[in-house]
Amino acid sequence: MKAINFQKNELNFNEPFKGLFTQGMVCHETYKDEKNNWLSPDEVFTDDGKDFYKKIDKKVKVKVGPSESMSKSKKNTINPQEIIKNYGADAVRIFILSDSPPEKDVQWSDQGMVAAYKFVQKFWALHKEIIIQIKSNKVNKNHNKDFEQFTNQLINKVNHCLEKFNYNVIIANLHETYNFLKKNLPNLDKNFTENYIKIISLMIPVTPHLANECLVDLNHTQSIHWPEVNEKYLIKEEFKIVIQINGKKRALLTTGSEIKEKDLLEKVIKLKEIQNFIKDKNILKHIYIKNKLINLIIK
Amino acid sequence: MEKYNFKVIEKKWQDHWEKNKSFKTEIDKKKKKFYCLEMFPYPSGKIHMGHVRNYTIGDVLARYKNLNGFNVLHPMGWDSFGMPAENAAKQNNLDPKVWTETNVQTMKSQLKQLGISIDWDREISTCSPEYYKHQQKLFLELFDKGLVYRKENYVNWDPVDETVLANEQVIDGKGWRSGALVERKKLNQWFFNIKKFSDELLDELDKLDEWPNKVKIMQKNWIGRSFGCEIDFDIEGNSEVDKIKCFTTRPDTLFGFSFLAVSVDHPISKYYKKNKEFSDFRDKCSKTGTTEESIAQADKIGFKTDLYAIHPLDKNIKVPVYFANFVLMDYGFGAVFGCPAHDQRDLDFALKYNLNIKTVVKPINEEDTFNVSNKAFTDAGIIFNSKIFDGLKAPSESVIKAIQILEDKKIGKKKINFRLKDWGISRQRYWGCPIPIAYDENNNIVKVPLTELPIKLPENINLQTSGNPLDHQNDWKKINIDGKNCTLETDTLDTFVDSSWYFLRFASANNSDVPFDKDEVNYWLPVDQYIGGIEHAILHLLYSRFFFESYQFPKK
Repeated sequence: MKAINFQKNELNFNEPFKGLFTQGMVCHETYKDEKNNWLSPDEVFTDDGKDFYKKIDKKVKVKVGPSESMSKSKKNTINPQEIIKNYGADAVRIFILSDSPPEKDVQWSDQGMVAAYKFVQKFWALHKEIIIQIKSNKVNKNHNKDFEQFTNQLINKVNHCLEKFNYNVIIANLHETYNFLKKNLPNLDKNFTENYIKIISLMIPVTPHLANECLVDLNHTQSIHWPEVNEKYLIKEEFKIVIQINGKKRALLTTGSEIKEKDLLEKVIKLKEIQNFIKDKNILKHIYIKNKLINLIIK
Repeated sequence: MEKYNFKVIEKKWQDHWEKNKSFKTEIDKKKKKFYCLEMFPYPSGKIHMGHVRNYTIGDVLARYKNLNGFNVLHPMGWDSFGMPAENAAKQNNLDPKVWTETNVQTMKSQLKQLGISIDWDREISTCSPEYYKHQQKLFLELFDKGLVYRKENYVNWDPVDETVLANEQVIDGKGWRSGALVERKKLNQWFFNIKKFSDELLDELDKLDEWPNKVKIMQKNWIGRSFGCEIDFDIEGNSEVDKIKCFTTRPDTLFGFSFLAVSVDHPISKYYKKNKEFSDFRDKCSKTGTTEESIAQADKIGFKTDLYAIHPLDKNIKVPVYFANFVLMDYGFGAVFGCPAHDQRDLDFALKYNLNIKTVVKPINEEDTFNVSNKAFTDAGIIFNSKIFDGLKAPSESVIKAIQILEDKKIGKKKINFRLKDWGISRQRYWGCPIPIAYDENNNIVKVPLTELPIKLPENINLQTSGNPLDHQNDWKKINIDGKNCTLETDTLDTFVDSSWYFLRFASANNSDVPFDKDEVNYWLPVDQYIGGIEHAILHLLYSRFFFESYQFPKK
């Protein structure tokens, strides 16, 4: 075989896909008629969610099978086009993200879909009330730190969920946000708008149409960016760690979260009340119960 | 209170994004890039709920990164060659192209209605000559590098779809689309030499720390690197055959040897050509597919020869040689030694043909009276009943030690074997990328010159033919290369070839000169986040990784 000069084709990365995420399937109950023919969800009806009957012949009871991945052959499909037409894209996006973590299978549910639609509607209604409040200038002159705290904690949570693909938790966060805003509607303060814009910006990835429309009402349509967390408003997690020597409590140490075992041990050894016990002695081993207790065995 | 009119508001924003090309991306070296990609869909008609989920997940991430100041590439394309188009066209007397393009338009409009932030200026479709001409060029590059070859081989034949299936497309011994029981058939096929990169494909997996572990394990098992030994067995009974070479991962169980099984295609089969019973047996074997699953599920059947294999470490032990349907020519050397006590498949075979079962591994705390009867013992244990191997810990010590002893005695040799087989890319189908190869009058392979590319598919042809409709396109098949009359290859490429480089094409989607521009690829790639179904954990991802390796081959 003749020698061929190859052009140098090396690229500056080793693998084509750096991150990979595998999402679960969308599942739906399966239905069969008396002759064991598959029926689509459109062909069955139920009054109580327990007993199902054929729509065209209401005397015929339908056998409900297990929920399985949607497939044409089993007829257990839902047509997205219809659903988008009936409920809107944002509601569909909320529903499809809501019930299960993205890597797990999700069960289709009509009630879930309706709930997502209702959420969009009620959020919009609340938003309009908020806008009226803001524009009425009747807001509280006193600074209400709750808004900053809620907003920054929310940003922190949503960031975390986005990085970890916990998208279903973001939907739960949206519901919390609604409840918080609803409760605090009478107490809006002069800094509220600033925080509210941040909250709405967090909603863009999930409900881009609704969020952008809300931002128009807030006259915030230029240079929209992701809000930053102000660490000052985050709850700092603290742990009180019991320090034992040979099983007896000798001291208490307060630390921030996520202290490494090695670092904790170093700190403990330097404590005055502990040094008295351990000087001239050997630490044979230690037992650590994360964020709760450390027991030094000495001799 | 006014109701939220999603119909009006969503349409308003979708029009706004489209008019302003809000998601159009260009290289901006001052910004950090983020390449967010969801597995592109097959345009089957309408989007389904799985798509809604897949593309919503990707869109959330793309929009989030965008708001965080990343230069986000979030493109979309269509994996648009394949059998459903051809079948639908056949049934409804349509052109697959028209069927496909209609579906693409429908699905594109549906994705827009879902508010997915796609840079539509980079849309690609694998069935368009604008895409596949580059693929033909890449094919010829791999050909020049010696990574593409043609050979006669057994294939998984789907008798319903009348096409060849890759091992990956055979599930539980059945065709992944038709569900028909797969058969074995010998055909001239084109292959990519993916086996050549077995080590790289395996070792690089460890560096993929943002991949789910389960996917990495699936790929690892698929590549299946095993460490073992080749052993030469002396043969008696026929003066023409004096040795048969076997591969085994368990040479330490050699004293449990009670039969030797070879593939019906093993070179020794030529001595049985005239034997009627053997040819019947061979026909029976062809009813089993070529995948491990179909072999595992099929009844184990054997044909006893007049040969005997001699134990390499004890000349007094002689065991019968069988042809067996569970041994294939392309694993090891097409011959295995059977050790029924410690391999369930061998045990099933031994029970069926009344062969000796000798136990040579026992659980650590068991007496020497331990005896296997109808369930093979495959756990770790201690070797016994095995002379020089006795007392070794199996398999941790015993495999290495056994290989050492066999090597010292010049009976065997250490060998690494892979389960991964070369990728058969020929499909006897119309609706796929034509292979840019022709044959001269003496049936020699001739490359189609680059100036003749693309070799376009003929349009509006008769699909109501037997086998591959392209075989019946006599005018289309004729091509003149360097003054010689040649005939085009009528096989088309497996559609997994189309999808094994499309993520590179998105970086240079509108470049008509090259498949992709290196600067653009170096800026945008790797894909930072790839999102799709677990069903593609093996085939698509492994092929894409192979394609990427082979493109860069040889590394200097």
